[in-house]
Order: sequence, then structure tokens, then C-alpha cells
Amino acid sequence: MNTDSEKQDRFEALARAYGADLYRFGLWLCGDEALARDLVQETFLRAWRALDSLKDEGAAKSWLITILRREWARTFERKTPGFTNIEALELEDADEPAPEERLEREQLRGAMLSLAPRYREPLLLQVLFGYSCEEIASMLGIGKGAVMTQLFRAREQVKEKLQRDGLTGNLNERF
Amino acid sequence: MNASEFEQALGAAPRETAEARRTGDADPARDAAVADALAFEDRLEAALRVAVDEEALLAGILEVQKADRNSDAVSPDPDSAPERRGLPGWLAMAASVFVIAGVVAVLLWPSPPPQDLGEYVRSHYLHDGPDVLARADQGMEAGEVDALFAALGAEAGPEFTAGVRYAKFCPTPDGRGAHMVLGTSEGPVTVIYMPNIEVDGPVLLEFDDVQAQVVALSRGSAAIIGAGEGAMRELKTRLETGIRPLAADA
Repeated sequence: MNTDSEKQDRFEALARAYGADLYRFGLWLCGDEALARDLVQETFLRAWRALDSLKDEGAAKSWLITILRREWARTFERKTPGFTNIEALELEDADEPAPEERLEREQLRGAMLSLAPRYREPLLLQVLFGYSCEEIASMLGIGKGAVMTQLFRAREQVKEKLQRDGLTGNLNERF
Repeated sequence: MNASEFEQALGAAPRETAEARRTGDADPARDAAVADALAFEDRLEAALRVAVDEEALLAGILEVQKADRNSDAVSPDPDSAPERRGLPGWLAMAASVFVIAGVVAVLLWPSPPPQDLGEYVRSHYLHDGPDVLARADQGMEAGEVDALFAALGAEAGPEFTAGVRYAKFCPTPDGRGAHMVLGTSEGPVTVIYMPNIEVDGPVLLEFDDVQAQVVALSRGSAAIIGAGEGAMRELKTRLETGIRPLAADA
């Protein structure tokens, strides 16, 4: 196997392993499916160009997330994304939820998109990628205490929004 | 950890807190709170972990990467240029004459459009054409359009730029191009600018009830997709007069 095909195989393995989660991360960051696809494509294009600099395969996931976050920041600098209407997104569930679960998921998604970016981003890193507070703090370049505060408030706001949007009753009992 | 600290930790990191509690003292109230928090986490994760067409996503990633690889192949890196070896003077002169004759022949010989151009336009449009078209109402600032064309070695006149409703980089059969939505008197129309694809004249394409035309520009070509007759004429003129090579590349 020559170096070119090894590099290509390595690239494709990364795209297969992390493409879907990066897409979901991008989707919940920007609230736009087509823009999320562009973000992922641009992320992997930049990763391809810099692939030789990735020495530790174990660091690939956080490296790719960093590239995507930078790309998103650049997009955000160029243009303030418009209001995201959750109903405009054509999202499919990975499983087959019951009707009431489906409604609940739609409300959770809407609540997620209504969060300010500083709350939404750490929550996504934690829920989608399973990062610890310490790891998130390192990725975002802020203290662990600040991350914990943001995560706590993020969850509180999601729950409050669900309550306002019709999921009444004791949320602690429901969830 | 007191009650308040526990509540904060559970709200910030439910799974980490639950893991930590496995080795802690038994406390039914806290166990119940952890169970509630974990149930919420499961629901939140299920909501965010939407289904993804992974093969289509991978195909899009590889399409862009392949275009970049091709682009690298036609743009040699000056740092990796092979070492030159000297030729005897007479041989160098003969070689020069041969090369010049070859270049003249290539320039005079009409080159057919790439055989896969039609397939590229079709598949690219079907891949995300309608999605991109739907984003035309986002609008583009002139500076963004200028930066995009500059990255492709081209520049667009202000009148052309004003008509760009949306634009993004996209792969083409030879390097990167621009997937645009241009406003016309008949509504928004998709145009794919391909700076490295030369065609001799208009190339007509038709697929799935969509009509397209690839027109030659001063640098590269552009595919106008799904325009009516009037909009097609309007866009041809705008593209031919509105896009030119960057001054340094001209």
C-alpha cells in the first residue's frame, strides 16, 4: 500500500467514524441541515489538508470538533444566521418513537435551538460526544466551574421552555 | 457534598454525577434524583441524535475532498518541483520547438466538452440544488461574494455581485467552483461556476424535466440550471460580462 492510499484510507476512516456526529453537532449549532452539511464538508476538507499534522489518532475527534467550531465561527462572523424554525427542519429519529415521545422530542429540539450559543455548545459537547466538564472546559478555553454553570443553566432553561410550551406538571417527576 | 452542591453537580453533569454516586453512601432521595436526571438525559440524547444518511454524508465529504485532490494535481506545489536536469543546447532547442508546436496545436484544436460534465451537473444539482435554492432568501453581502470569487481566481463586477442571492464553494470535475443562486426577473436560478472547466460553446443538458445550459466564460464556464428562456438569456449575458479572471491571472 503506498502512502497516498494509506492517507486516503485514513481520511475515509475518520469521515466514517465521526461524520455523522459532527453533522449532528453542526446541525444543532446552526439549526440548518444544508449549512450543517457544508460545515461538515468544509471541516473534513480542512482536515484532509492538515491530515499529516494529526499524529495521535486518539485526538482525532476533538481535533475535528475544533475545526468545525472554527469554521462555524467564521460563518457566524460573515453572517448572522436567521431565526431557526424547528418546524422547517425535516428531522428523522434514529429509532421509532411512540407519538407522544415524538412530540416530546420535537419540543426538546425546539428548546435546544432556543438556547443561547454559550449554553447550547457545551451541552452538545456533553450529550453528543460524552465529554466531561473538564474536557469541555479545555476545548472551550474556559474554566471548569464556568462550564458547570453553563451546563446547569442550559438544562434549567430547556426544562423551563418545555414547561412553558405545554409539558406541564412536575418536570422532575416526568423526567 | 451538601444538597445544593449535589443539585448543581447533577444539573451540570448527570452522568458523571451518577457514576460518582455508585461508590457513595446509599441515599434514596439522591438516588431518585439521579434516576430522574438520567431519564431526562436519555430523552435529550434521543432528541438530538437524529438519523443521518451516513452514506450520502460520506459521499458529499469525499466529493469535496476529491475535487481538492484534483485541484492539487493541476496546481503543482513550487516547493516540491522536481529537480531540473540540464539538456544539451541543440536538444533543448528542438524540444522547445516541439513543445511550442504542441501548444499551438492544442490551442487551435477545438476541445470537446468533458464527457462527464452533463453527469456532474445533473448529480450535483440533484445532490443539493433544491436545498441551496431554498436558501436564496438568506442574501449575500458583496464582500462575501468577492471573497469567494477571489479564492477561485476570479472577480465579479458589482452589478453581477448584487444579483447573487446565495453562493458557496462546491466541488467540480476539476477543482473547486461556486454553487450560486442568482436572482432573475423570473425568480431565483441555480448557477454553478466552474473556473477550470472550459467548453467551446453552449452545451445543452436536460435531466428529470430540468433544462440546463453550460456557457463558456472568459475563465472557465458556468452551468445555468432550471431557468426559463428569458432568464437563461439574461443570465448568460450577466455571467459573460460579470465574471472575469483576477487581474493577476488575466
